[in-house]
Amino acid sequence: MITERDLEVAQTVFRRLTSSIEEVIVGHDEIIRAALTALLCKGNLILEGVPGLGKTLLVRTLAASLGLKFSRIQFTPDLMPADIVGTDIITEESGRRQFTFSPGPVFANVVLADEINRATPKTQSALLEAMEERTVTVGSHTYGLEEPYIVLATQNPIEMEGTYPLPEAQIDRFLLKANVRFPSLDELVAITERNTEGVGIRLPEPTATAEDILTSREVVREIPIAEGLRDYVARLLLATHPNSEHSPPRIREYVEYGASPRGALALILGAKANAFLAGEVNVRREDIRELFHAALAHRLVLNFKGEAEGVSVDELLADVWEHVPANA
Amino acid sequence: MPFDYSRFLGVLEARARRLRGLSLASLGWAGTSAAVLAGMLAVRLLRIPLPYWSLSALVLPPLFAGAVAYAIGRSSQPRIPLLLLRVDDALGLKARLSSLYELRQRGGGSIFRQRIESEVRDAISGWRSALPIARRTIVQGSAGVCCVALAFGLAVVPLPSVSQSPLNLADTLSTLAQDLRPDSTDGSAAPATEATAPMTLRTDGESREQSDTTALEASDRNDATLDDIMRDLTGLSPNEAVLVPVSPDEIEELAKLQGEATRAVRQLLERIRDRLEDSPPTDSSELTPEELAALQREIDRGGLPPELEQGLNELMNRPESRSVEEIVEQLLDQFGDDAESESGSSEDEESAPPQSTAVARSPQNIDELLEELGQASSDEGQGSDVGVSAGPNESGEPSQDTDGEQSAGDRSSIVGANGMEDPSQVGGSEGPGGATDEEEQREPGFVREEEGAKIGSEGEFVNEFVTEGVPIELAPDSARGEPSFRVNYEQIASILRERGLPEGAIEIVRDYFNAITEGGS
Repeated sequence: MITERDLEVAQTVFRRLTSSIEEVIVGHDEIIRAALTALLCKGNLILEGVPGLGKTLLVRTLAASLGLKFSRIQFTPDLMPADIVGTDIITEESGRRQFTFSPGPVFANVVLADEINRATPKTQSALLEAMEERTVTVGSHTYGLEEPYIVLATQNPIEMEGTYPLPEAQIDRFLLKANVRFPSLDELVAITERNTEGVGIRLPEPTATAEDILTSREVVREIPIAEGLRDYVARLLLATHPNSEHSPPRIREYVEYGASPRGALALILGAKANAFLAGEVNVRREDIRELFHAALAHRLVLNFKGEAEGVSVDELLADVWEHVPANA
Repeated sequence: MPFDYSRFLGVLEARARRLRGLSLASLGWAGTSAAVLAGMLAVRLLRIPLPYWSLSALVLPPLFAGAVAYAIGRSSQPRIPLLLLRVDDALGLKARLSSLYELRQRGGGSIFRQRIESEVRDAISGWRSALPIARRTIVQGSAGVCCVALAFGLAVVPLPSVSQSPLNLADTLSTLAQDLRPDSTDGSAAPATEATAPMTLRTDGESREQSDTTALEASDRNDATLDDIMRDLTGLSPNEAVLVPVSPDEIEELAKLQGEATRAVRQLLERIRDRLEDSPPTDSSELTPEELAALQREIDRGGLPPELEQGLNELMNRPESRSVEEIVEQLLDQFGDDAESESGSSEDEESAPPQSTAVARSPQNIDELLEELGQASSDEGQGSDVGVSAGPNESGEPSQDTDGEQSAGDRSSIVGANGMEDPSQVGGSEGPGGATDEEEQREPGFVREEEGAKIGSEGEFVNEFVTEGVPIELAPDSARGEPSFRVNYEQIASILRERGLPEGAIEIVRDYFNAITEGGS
């Protein structure tokens, strides 16, 4: 049972966490919020953007603020699954050789999968179990991952050379996908100022504990959402499917597969976390709108026509948002 | 004060039910009203008789449908969560009301419930504005009212009669004949009415049927609009719905009745004249009460030529400047020639059926007609006011119409006309009855008229026609007991003026009838 104090503590912790991250990261408020949302929802986040926009720094700052165990995996084409999850190695103890499991970098609280789409799909898939079940299976042994656990992946745009698009099954396991935009003029000036003067960037001190995060997750799940909004979310999700009666014409024309039910869960949970971060006590329609693109954009699969014509998924989702009435 | 959310939900649900009921009721009301309007339109276009009580029934079906729809709408269970979300959106409550409902449904205590209740307590005072009566409901209701009003208007406002079918023409003529008779309401005048309106002889059955219909229909028949008249003028041929055949039997009966009436008047006048001659000069200045009563009875019987009827009225209300003897003599003069010829021809008339009507004269009688016309022209133009009267066929054979063979121009020789004041009017100068002294001097021209009449000799009249809606009256020749009638053009003009027909259009109407009858009839 969540108490009034739990609610106040959780909100205080995350206000402090947000401000400590914003001291390091210039701009990207929506990215920071998306990362905290994923953390509160027990989900994972994928950040997409060209190199040099501060994706890795954001993740490192978040991990430092949380005071949790952090690991970074740089995905390359020759990266193997065992390099991620770990492997059994032969060790000698008291003159006796035996296989001992050596955990990979996935065994941490905050895992940065940097440029995840540069690895082969086989290696990418090595993260599936960890992301969804929070377990790792090596050989005949299954190892649990410590909570709070979050995978923050970055990827370059698919069109870039030497990238492998993530399998649909894997990308669906990311709660949210955030596009890292190029900083504005003022933000760029601030970035150069922080990085070229003094001691440079200093990661923040931890402002939250693992227990704070877990308590906050419980608080978020208790935040109520109206039945009418649940119905609205369901209609939004159905509208992304080309064969649905709720879908707009462009969805029928350019989309091969719509969002999975996991998308609806992501949207509702994300809306709850968004409401919590906004200091609200219930989910509003604005929360759904703010999470709508981040929760569903990476779950839509365009058909050949959509790919050939370079249709923007964000535009399709904008059509869906306009097409579905708030009150049916 | 604690926030009574349950009570709020109850009030909200009740309002939602009412609104739902109103929405369905307006839909049912509008739909049924539209159906009523369509039905009324069909009824009026098809001229189906509609009793007066049906006017009140116009509103009943929409009301009933609306009531049923309202009951159905109220009975349907509204979706409270969606209602609450509507209220949230309208009041800017950020989905708090609906979230609170969710928390109550979930049960148990929650820190969020108390917070939400405290936030919405003061914000929901104007929640009713979030559930207003939908504009669609108002529009539908208004549309229904308009439909009912239109239907009611259709029922009470007479529609213009596009054209009357020949089946209804007889009834129309009957009504018109009664309208033309100022004393038609008098029960004693009933036989005379039948005599002057032969069409009523065959429309008794129809009249009884029509007695159940509304007065609105009667007004429809009598009050055709200008558009209708003009449409009749321009859209229909003379043979189409404008003319109706009159059987020789009906004309014969009419002539018989008229003959009896004129003979009775003449006998009465002769008795008055004899009494005046026998009485001392001092007592002969006034009519006796018995004579006045007898004269009034004859007038009331009807069937008299207008001139004769006018003379009788003048006799009963004698002016100071004229004496009774003078008026009686003048009236008897009108019978003068008739009285002379009647003695010789009455037997033939009774034995042989009247062969034709005002529009038919057998070719064998052309010479006799010319003689009559010559005589009429010498009677100080009296005949100019008289249409051509039908004469008996000496051969004893009923005249027959050549129908298709007879051109419209043939009728110039058989028309009646009110040509006394304006010979240029229908049949006035060219018609035989319109012969004047000047025309008599132009005998060669008159001979050409005779040439025109020869066309009639090439065939026989089969049917005779009376123009629909045209007020007819017995021609003065009827005083001789012969069936003849003429058209009262002044009456036509009066009717057209009452219907708002422009003065210029009256001439068009006259030209039209002149055209279809080539001289008028």
